[in-house]
Parts: sequence; C-alpha cells; structure tokens
Amino acid sequence: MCGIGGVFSKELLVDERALQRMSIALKHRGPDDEGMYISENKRSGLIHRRLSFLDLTPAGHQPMNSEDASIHVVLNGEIYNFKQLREELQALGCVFKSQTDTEVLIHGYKTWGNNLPEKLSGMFAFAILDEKNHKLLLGRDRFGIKPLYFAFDSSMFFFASEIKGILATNYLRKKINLTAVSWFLANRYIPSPHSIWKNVFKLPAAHCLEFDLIDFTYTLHCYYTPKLNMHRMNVNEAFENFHHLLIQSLSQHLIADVPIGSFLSGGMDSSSLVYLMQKSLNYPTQAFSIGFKGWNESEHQYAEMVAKSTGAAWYAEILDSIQLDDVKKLMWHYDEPIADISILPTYAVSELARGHVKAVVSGEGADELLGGYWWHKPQNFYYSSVFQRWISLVNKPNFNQVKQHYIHAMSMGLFNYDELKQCLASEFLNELPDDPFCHLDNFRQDGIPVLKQLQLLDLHTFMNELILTKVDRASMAHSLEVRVPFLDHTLVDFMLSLHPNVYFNSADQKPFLKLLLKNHVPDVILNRPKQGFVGPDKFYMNYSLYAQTLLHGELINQGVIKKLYLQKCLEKKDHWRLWKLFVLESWWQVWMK
Amino acid sequence: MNRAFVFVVCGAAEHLNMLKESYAWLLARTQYPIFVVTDSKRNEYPIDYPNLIDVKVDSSFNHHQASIYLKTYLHRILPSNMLAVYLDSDILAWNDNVDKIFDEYVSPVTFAPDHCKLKQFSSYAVNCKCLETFQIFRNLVEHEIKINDIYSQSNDIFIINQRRLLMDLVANEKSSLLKKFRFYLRYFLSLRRFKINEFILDKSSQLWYDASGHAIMQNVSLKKIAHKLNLRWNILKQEIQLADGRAVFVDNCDHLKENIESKFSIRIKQANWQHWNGGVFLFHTGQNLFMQTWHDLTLQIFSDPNWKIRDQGTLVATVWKLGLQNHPMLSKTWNLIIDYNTSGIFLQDDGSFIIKGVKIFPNFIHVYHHFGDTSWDLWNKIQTFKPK
Repeated sequence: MCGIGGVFSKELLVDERALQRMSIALKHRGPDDEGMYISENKRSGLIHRRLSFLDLTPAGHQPMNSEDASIHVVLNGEIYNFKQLREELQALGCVFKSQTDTEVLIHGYKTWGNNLPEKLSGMFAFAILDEKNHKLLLGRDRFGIKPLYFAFDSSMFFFASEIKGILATNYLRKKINLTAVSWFLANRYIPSPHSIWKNVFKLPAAHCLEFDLIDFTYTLHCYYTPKLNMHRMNVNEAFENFHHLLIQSLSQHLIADVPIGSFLSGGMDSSSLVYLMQKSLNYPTQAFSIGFKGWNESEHQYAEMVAKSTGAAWYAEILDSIQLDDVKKLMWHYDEPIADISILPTYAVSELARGHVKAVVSGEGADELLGGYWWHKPQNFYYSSVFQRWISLVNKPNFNQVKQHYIHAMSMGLFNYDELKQCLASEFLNELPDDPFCHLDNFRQDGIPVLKQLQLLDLHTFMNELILTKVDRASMAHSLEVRVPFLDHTLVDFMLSLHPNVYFNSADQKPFLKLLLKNHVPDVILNRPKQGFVGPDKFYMNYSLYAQTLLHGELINQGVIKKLYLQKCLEKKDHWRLWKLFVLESWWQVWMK
Repeated sequence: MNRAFVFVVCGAAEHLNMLKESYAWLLARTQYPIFVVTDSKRNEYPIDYPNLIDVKVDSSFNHHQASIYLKTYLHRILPSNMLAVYLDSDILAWNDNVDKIFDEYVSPVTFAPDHCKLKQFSSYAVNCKCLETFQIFRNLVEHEIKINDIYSQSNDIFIINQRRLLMDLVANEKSSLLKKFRFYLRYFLSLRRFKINEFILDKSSQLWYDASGHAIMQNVSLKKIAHKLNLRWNILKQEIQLADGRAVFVDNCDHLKENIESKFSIRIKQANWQHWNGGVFLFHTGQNLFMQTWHDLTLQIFSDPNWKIRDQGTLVATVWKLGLQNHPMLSKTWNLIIDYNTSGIFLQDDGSFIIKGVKIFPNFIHVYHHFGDTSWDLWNKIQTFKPK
C-alpha cells in the first residue's frame, strides 16, 4: 500500500517542487520511503510513497525502471499472484533484479502490453510510463480496492492516489462540480468517474486508461466484468469450493515480510478470517475491535468471544461516544464528501491497529458475495405489500423496480429529484440531474434473479464507491494497509457463478459462513442478527451540533442550500438528511475556503 | 491559449439566414473571435464575416454531408492550440455570461446532453423502418383526433396560438406527480366547469373555451381511439401503445445501438444511454483523437444505406469507442433546447424559461424547428431579448 502520483505537461517543464508537494500530500500513505522520477525532457514526472511489506531492501524502491530505462513504474497495493507471474515471465526469458511485485509489472507490460491488468490478481493501482512509445498506462484493480484519480486540462495531465495529491501541485484550478453535490446527497458518494471537482476523475474499478503523451488525449477501457452464471451446484460441493478458495485467497493476502493482523467486529465475516488464520493457517493473529460504552449491542463483547475461542491476541478500544466534530478532520482525508456512517469507527479501529501492525485483513466483500445485507431479502423489498409479493411470484420485478428498492435501501434520508429541488438553491437547480441515481443503470443485467442484480449493484456501487473508499482513506490516514481476502476475483467469480438457491437463504444469515464457523465459535455469534459497524443511531442524532454547524455554515452563507429546508429538517429531527448535510458542510469548510 | 467560437455553414439560404441571426446575437455578447467555416462555392448567396475560413470540400458530397465533414474536421481547420466552442446555427447567445462557457471545458471534449435518450433518438440516425411505422400509427391517431376535434384543423392563427397556450398550461399542470394529482383532484371536484387560468372546460361537452368564450378545443378520448384502431391503451401511463408495448408517440428502438455494433464493433452497454447533443461543444485543436475518430467514423457512414446522414449516431460510437460515456457534460443552461413541438415551455420576463415546472436561466438557447417562424408566439417573445 502506497501513494503514487504523476504530472505530465505538453508545453511547460514539470517543476520538481510541484512533484515534491504532491509527494508530501501523500506521505501518510507511505511514510517508509519516497521516490521521484523526472524524464530527461522534463515533461513527465512520477512520485511514489512507500509503505513496505515485501523486499524491504532498497531494491524495492520506486519509481522502478526497466533495464533500458524506457519504462518506469509506480504501484500502490499488492499483486498477490506475482510469484506465479514471475515464473511465467522468467520462462519467457525475463530477468528480474528484485523480489518485488512491482517488477512484475515492468516485464508483464513488456510482454502483454495493455492486457497486463487481466493477468493480475490483487488490489492495485499502477502507472506505467512508456517513454519509447510516448504512452502512459494507468490501471486499477477489479473491485476498486485501491484508489486512483486523474485530472486533465488541455496541456497537463495528472494522476494520484488521492485528490489532494493532484491539488497540491498547484497547477490545476479547482472547479466544483455542482451536479456532484446532488449525486452526493442522493447516494452518499459521488459515482465514478466523477468527483466533487469538475476536472478531476476517479479511474473506475477494473479500468485502464491509456494516455497518449503526444496527442495528449486518453482512452478508457474496462478489462473485467464479473461473470454471472446460475450453476445449481450441490450445496456441500459449493461450500467446499468456497472454503478452499477463501483459504487460498487468505494465504495469499498474508504474504508479507511483516506480521498481518485482522479487524474483528464480532460478526461472521471477520470472525471467519480470524478463525481461518488461527486454525487453518496457523497464523498467529492479532485482532482489533472497537466498542461503544454503555451500549448493550456493542459488538466488542462478541469480538472478545471470537478471540477467546480462536486463541487470537485481542486488542479493543471502547469509545465513549462518536465525536462528530472529527468529521471535519476526516473530510481532509477523504477529499470528497462521503457520508458512510461508519467513517468514524473505521478511523478509530485503524488507529488502534496501526499501533501494533502495519497491515490487517478485513471482511469487506463477504456480504456482497453471500447475500448478507437486509436489502437482499425478498421480504424487505420496499414495495412488498402482501399483494405485491403475491404478484411477484408470477411477475418478477423488473430492473426499474429493483432500482427503486435499491435506492430506498441505500438512501438513509432519501434525496430524490423532488427533494433535491426543495433543498438546493437556484444555482444548483440548473445543474440538477434528471435522475440522480442514473449511474445504477450502468450495471443493469436483464434476465438474472433479483438477488444477483442486487449483488451486482452492491459490488459496483455501494461496496466500490462507499465501503472501499471509506476503508482505504480511514486506514491510510494512519498508514495502515487493509487487505480484503473476500474480494479475490477467483472467489468472486465462483460465488457469482452459483444460483442463489445454493448460497442464499432468506431466513438465515450467510449459510456458508455459518457452516465454516459452526462448532468453532460460540453459537451466539452465528445466530445474532447482522449489525453494521456504526454504533448506536443516537450518536447521529446530535441536533444541537447540526443546528449550530449548519444554520450559520458555509452551505447557507454561500447559497448552496435553502435555509427554509434546513429548518424543516431540524424541526422534523430528520437526522439522516441532517447527517448528509453536516458531512457536506464539513467538507465545504475544509476544501472550499 | 486562444479561445474562439465557431460556426459551420454550407449551402441553402435557409441556413445562411439562420447563421446571420445567431451570429448577431453572439457578436453582441462575446469578447472572443467568432470563426465561420464554410465551403463558399456551395452557398446560395455569398457570405462575409471577419473570420471566415473557406474550405473546399470534396464535390461528391452534398451540402449536408459537406457541413458535417467541416464540423467534424474543425480540429484541423482552426488554428492550433485553440480552445474552441462549436455552435450550431440555430443556437442563440442568451445573456452576457456566454464567455464563461470556456471555463466549462473538461478535456478532451465537452458536449451538452441531448433532450432525449438513445432509444428515442435511434431511428433518426439509422434507416430502420421504425420511424415510418410509428408515423403510420401517429397519422391514424391524429386523423381520428382531427375528426373528433374540428378545431385542430383551424387555420385561424388566433385559435392556433390559444390552443398552443392551453396545451402548454396543461403540460405544466401535469409536470410532476403531485401537480398531476392536484390537477385530477380539481377536475373531479369541479362541478360543470373546470378552469385553467383563463381557459374553461365544459365538462359535459368536453369543450374548451378561451376567455372571450370562443370554443378552441374538443377533448377527445384517446382510449376510444386506441380501441377503434386496435391499439393498446395503457391506463397507468395514459398513452396509446403498439402491440409490442411501445408508446405510439414516443420513438423507441435499438437499431442505432445494433448498427454501431455491427458496423464499428463498438458495444453500447447501456441500452438507453443519455447521448450527447452535437449542437454545442468545446474542443481543443491540440487534442485530435476524439475529433479525428468522430470524423473518420462519420465519413464511413456517408455511403452506407443503413445510416442517415447525421453526425450524432457516430458521435455515440466515438464516445463509447474511447470509453468516455461517463464523461461530464455541459449543464442544460449551455444548450437549453426550445422545441416548437414540446408543450409547456414558458419564457418569463426575467429571461428565464419554465420547462416542466422547473425554472432555468439559460446562457445559450437551441431553437429546434421553426427557427425564425414569426407565427410562433414563443419565437416572437424570444426576439424581444435580442441584443440591440
């Protein structure tokens, strides 16, 4: 896990000081080492901040270049199959000088060209500068675990792991994307490739960007689409395969020259990882949890049970309350407004873990693969009147109905077109999208079961845009790497190839994980309802803070939202809408000054 | 970096006249140079502008093809290192903010969204039979309407305008779910007469009267017409549909998507994608990939009988080929489409338009159909905003 960045200019010379500023802005992502490369003609520059796990010697220093110095590479993340790729490339005559996964990118690019990302397994964002062919190739992993942003004006191109890296160069004039404000309020995130800035983009997950350094234009292409199938495999056989693939993925994720710990919430996802590390892989595990004082449902009590039953070393921190004021600090780290309610607990648990280890594994992706969210259950469909449920037996919901259900499931204080019209001031209404949820249409697949459609939406939007962004920034703020074994693409493809009847039961929570953990952790862990990593709702009902911050805040002063609307929300104690406005206000205060 | 606006014009006097009008609007409101690109030999009468660029286009092209050729080739025609805004000739610079459009540029190109989506646009880009099929049924339905509503055949300009105004008002009254609910509730609660502004509907005869008591429109039952013509009537959407469920009055097909895939091997993954409008766009003459790809693909369809001579279908193909389908677009304020055929558009005295109940302050307006038609009330009102 690292920070990467680059600046390319058509006319001006790239200023070394600008690259240094970029590097400093990304220091928290990689405090162990830093590197910079500026091309001979001074039109291209790359930077790298390193958080080292493999080959801790200087041989792992980046930017790394090919022997003839025509190709330069920076990598953020981990390529888990680098050993296999290395062997494959060696068999083709490539000679390696280090033990790192980064070097695989150089030889892999020379051998496979733009098809390189398809060969990679892992979490990554990389840039390959090919000076001979005047080309830059950016790539991002299949599920968007590692971030990558790019920005572009007519004569300069930039990329970086975080937006602040790009802005730190001082070359780019920030232009706020007024439509993105609507997207944020509607979705809690800004969907790729857009960002809060009009001229800064996210490279979407599973995409490559090829930039022509002469013409100064780019093309984007998607190199991976999840493969869906409706294979009705025997349940036991399917479970065995799942179990095998998960262990395989987990062992790959534990490859490092330093110890790897685990987040442990006390739910089945992280408990499975801790159990497999301790018992199946004999990997001495340090587990980290957060609890909430005075809350009966605080998960730390369950995490402790799991740690005890598996023998993992356990570290916990019990929070008195959530300091909503800290949101402002987080908005600096997140660069964009993001309103996932677990941003604060995730930040806290990352801080705790970084006191002991450099990296942890975490259970993200399990709910998406195994159908673990409440919105996956047919009985929770928002339009599920008894009559409609009867109808749905013969007339399956179409995509638009699924989309409506998903919008309601995701909203937490719905901001649809009409609500946005009431909330936003007139300048923003000109930029109001007709459908603030239209990005969901990108992931429409007809003729598949509703659950599969929901899982696809989860993988591409909720998980990719919200969950993984939250985890990356919260952990990187503390220079902690988080690895997500459930998101190995072989495992994902396998699970998506199964018919839902094989792995999903609407009356039961994630049957495969129950099978895995049965008799290994206390039954209470298996039978308790799913709980988000957020703390009690009352933490988010701090109306006095909302009123104090928002009524005299920048959103009102600068005419972003209508005061009347805000007052209505406060009167109605509409805490989820207020939470989103509070996040937006906090972001505004940090970035719009 | 240099900045400029650019128009392309070629051939018929109608287009040359249109340019004269839009050029005058823009000239009064911009600080930047305005280029006009043409093939002068084709023009029905000579034109003269300060920054006129005359380009000889292959004589085998007709005028329409020549205009498209020039438009998609502007990156090679204009001076290098220039940020340019292309404008169709039916686009009017609406206020003094027009120069701010240059700040909206996001590399490599920035277009505005079209007023419809891909499925609706499809049959206007390729020669499928859908448009004709729809047209046959539309003619049948319209014929029935004419029989039942004799006022629709009136040539009296007063009645035509009153009917238009009434239709605009009704469209506005139904522009959101809530408004629609209120509209029908008012309708059902009213006794014999139902009123919208100065118009009155006599519920028993279903006749609309204007303020002076003249009958101007007969409400007709679309449901009955649908049944008579053996078409489907969708009660929820209140629309007449073909047997396959497509609305008779909404163009809808996948043939453009299919033709793009078969001709260029480019897959459009979003069936009803919000495509771009070619009327206003920003591009940089130093970045040629997009424009050159558009130009090359467009030339390929000129001789293909499956395609209509338009640049917008190949614009869709270019965007998807280069992976720019989610690239930011200009907001509608930069290309507000004022369509003669769309009901419910109101121009306010402050220069804003109300469309579907939403107030918009545009910077450019794009006058679709009937540009310069002095029998169109809205056009006449637009003229009152013309810069002196």
